[in-house]
Amino acid sequence: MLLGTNGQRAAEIRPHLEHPVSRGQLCVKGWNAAQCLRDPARLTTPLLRRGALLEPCSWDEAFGAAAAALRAARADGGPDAVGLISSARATNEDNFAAMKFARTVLATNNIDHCARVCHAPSVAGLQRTLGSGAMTSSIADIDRADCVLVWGADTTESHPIIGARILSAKRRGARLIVVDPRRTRLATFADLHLQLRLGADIPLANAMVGLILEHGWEDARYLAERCENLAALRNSLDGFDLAAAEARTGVPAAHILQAARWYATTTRASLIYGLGVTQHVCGTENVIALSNLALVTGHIGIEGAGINPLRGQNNVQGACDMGALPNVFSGYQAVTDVAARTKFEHAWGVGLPDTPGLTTLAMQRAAHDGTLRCMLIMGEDPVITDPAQTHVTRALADLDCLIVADMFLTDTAQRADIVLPVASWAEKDGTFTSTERRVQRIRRALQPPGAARPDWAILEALAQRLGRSMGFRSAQQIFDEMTALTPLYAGMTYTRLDRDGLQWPCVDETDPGTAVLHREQFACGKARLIPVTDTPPAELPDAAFPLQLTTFRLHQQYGSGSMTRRAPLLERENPRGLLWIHPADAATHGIDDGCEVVVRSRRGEVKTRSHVSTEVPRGVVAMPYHFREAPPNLVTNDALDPLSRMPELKVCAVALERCR
Amino acid sequence: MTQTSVLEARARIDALRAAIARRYRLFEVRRHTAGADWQRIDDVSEPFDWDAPLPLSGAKRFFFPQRDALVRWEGGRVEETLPAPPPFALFGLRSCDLEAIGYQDQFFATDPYYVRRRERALLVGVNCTRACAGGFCREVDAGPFARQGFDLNLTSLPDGRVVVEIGTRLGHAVCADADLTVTELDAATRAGFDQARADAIASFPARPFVRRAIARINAADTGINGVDWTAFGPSCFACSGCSNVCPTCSCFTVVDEARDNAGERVRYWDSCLLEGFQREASGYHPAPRPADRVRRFWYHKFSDDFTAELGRVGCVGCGRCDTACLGAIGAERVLGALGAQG
Repeated sequence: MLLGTNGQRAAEIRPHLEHPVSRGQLCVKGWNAAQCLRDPARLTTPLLRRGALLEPCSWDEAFGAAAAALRAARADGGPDAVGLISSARATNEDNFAAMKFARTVLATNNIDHCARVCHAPSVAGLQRTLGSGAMTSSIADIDRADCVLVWGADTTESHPIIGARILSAKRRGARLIVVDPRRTRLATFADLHLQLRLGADIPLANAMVGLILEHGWEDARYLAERCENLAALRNSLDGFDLAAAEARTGVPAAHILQAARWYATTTRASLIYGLGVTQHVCGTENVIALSNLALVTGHIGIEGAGINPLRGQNNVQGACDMGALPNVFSGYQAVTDVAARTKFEHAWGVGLPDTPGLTTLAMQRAAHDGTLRCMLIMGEDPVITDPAQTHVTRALADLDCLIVADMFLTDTAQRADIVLPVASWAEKDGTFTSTERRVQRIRRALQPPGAARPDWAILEALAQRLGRSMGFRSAQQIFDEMTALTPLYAGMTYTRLDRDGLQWPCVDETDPGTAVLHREQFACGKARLIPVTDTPPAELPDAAFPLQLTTFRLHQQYGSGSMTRRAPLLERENPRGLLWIHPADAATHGIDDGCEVVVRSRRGEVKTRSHVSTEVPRGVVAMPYHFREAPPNLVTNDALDPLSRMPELKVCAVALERCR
Repeated sequence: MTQTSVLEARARIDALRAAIARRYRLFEVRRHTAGADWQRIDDVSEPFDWDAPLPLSGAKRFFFPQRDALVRWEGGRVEETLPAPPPFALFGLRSCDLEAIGYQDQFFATDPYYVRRRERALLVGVNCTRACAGGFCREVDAGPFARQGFDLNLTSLPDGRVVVEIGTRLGHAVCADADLTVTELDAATRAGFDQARADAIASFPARPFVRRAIARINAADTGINGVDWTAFGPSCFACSGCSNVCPTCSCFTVVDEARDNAGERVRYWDSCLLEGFQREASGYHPAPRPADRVRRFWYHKFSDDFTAELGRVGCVGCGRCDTACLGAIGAERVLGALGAQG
């Protein structure tokens, strides 16, 4: 994407014809990306709470207050009394600075970011099975697939450029199988739509694996040479019952069989999945179930195939890669690994904490318990995006001091004691890592408004104020320090990234990067098949809460909408919050299209408007989560996946009532 | 043919560019790592790129930018922000874009923001002597050789000479500045020119479906409704790419961007493929399904209901929408489907 400027104004967005992924195309969010940059509501000065009001102050005052708060919290409760949330929208350089800041300046591993609520289960699951938690193929690789299996991903809306590529594969003759409880646009194009019940992913995947092994459709040679633990997987599926799978998943047995046959017997079959798989109490095991499916069929490590989690934010892959996570340094080097920790200690000249820190939701709970006293949140809006909103707001209120760095005064920033204005993507240099592991440059086109600064510069200044400079003077210098410590990125330089970027791993300066992972062997040597068993959603419908609520995203909006909702054309497209409901359920509840309704769960209630549609099945209602006027996170469940600490955002039990 | 001048060599074109650059800010299409784009040329000693591809972003943004401030206010003071750009020259416009500018000139004839920019512009065309990848200008009477709408128009002949057609007094003036002699074409040059045009036309693959499809859209008995548009609906992502890259699309929306007592009234490019474009305040929508909006878009491009007013169909065959469309329903694909149907 190209940004045209007119003086100090963003004047226009232009598509990038030669880009290997977008090829001259943009989605509607791309076309409207410039409009938030000079929104009159941009934060241009630091703000300091004085009583009930947030009042403008100087950087000097803001840093003074922030340093004092961090010192006080540490003096009171030790280094782990503070926590840092980094941002998947910020650059790799910002995230590397954040993880260094947490570990060296604050001396804590309490650092996390929003991957916790999107693909933490992918990182945890694929790390266990393959040794690397990222898309194993490339986006362009979809052009070479003969079968595309899309599981819990609404790609035409959430990843339109990828969705367009999948539809183009379908037009070319590739078979398209869509697994989704909702009849998405992609599902209407599919050769086969498996409309499974919410939270029935494991029984469906297991049934497919069972059928594949039963019919001998597995890739025996691949299994023998490249995978381990087949016997255990076979044993776990011994005596599996297709009729039971049909009853449990709601998918006709014949469709399960057809999908298993098409996927297994096509050599170039790509498995693409999204948050429909991960945002469950069994998110990591869901990922492992899909990994088993891809492994028994030999679909990883070759062109036109792979297992491909689609990351949602511009740099959520990069934020993970940079180690903005409580358990790893950059490049997934564990904080508990003595060799890795020693390397970082040596490079940074300081001892580092050796036990994994708190995740986002654990920080919120610790805040509520009083053990976490001060939080620094960079460019995230957990009040809108995290589950069980009332718990989040209470936790933030329990902090001694909340520091928020953002472009706008978000719902989270409004609750802060200190607010720091940050530069947007157009106002700084750096790199983003896309979902296909492609590291790409962004270049500063505009001055930040007013006193706003890049995240990394704010962190460096704050570090100096705390007497522990990180020594950062430019984005490029941070990148160079990062590559020296991160084998996945070791061969990258700004010069090499200049044109099309590079896909990691890129281990030295002659390495052209890696389009397809695990070609010869897996990152962990042999891939691990791990039996997983059905785990139903933490909360099932009952008499009091008879419907299931799921969440999804709209084509026109991004995250909490703090950027996209400032674009007038995007804001015009949708009413502020909607509840999709099947006509039969609408009739039962006396609800017409466009009615005001209240959605209640055990955790809270939210008012919104009905949209009667057969896109959702009976018994399921669905809400997009972009709208602060009607946030589904007032009712969603914060039950956690024990392996990744991912909350179950995709399913909870609700009751519905028409407002009179 | 209008008045002409003949340059003995391509190299002489630099004298013309230098003369233009003395009076105008010079813009040319340059290839770079992100494709090809209009760029300000400060140094005319860089050679002109005769083979530069058609840029994905057309010339309309020079006259009708994506974001255009209309009025500014602060306290009680209100001022109209009429643009006053220094004179500028677009050197190297292809015939499709010249046709599109002519089309928009009519649409925006009384729009001061457009007109103030447009009247400061010098348009220099360069005829396409061979087909581009996705263009079908010849099927919609928009090229590959320009007929009108230019101040100057250049044709590079195979023998290395360049024919310069002079369309206006402005064009004449810069030719005079560059000491170009105005002559009638001699018979041999004329024949060379006609042959170049014939060769250019012949280099385009024939797309008879285009005229068939346009005829269907304008069938006397059924008009636009004679086509089944439902199949196109699900393919539309409502990305707005088609209308944004379309050189004849002119719809905009007006919003106020204000804080406290100061602000700007701004217009942005809009798109009829967006659901909110036609939705009325009551919630009623005259084009409620995506297929209805797709139909409406192509109706406005190809129906005779509009050619009477604007002199030509609203599509100049540049092929940009086929590149930008996420759902593969750009002009060539849609016309292909329509021209094959029925």
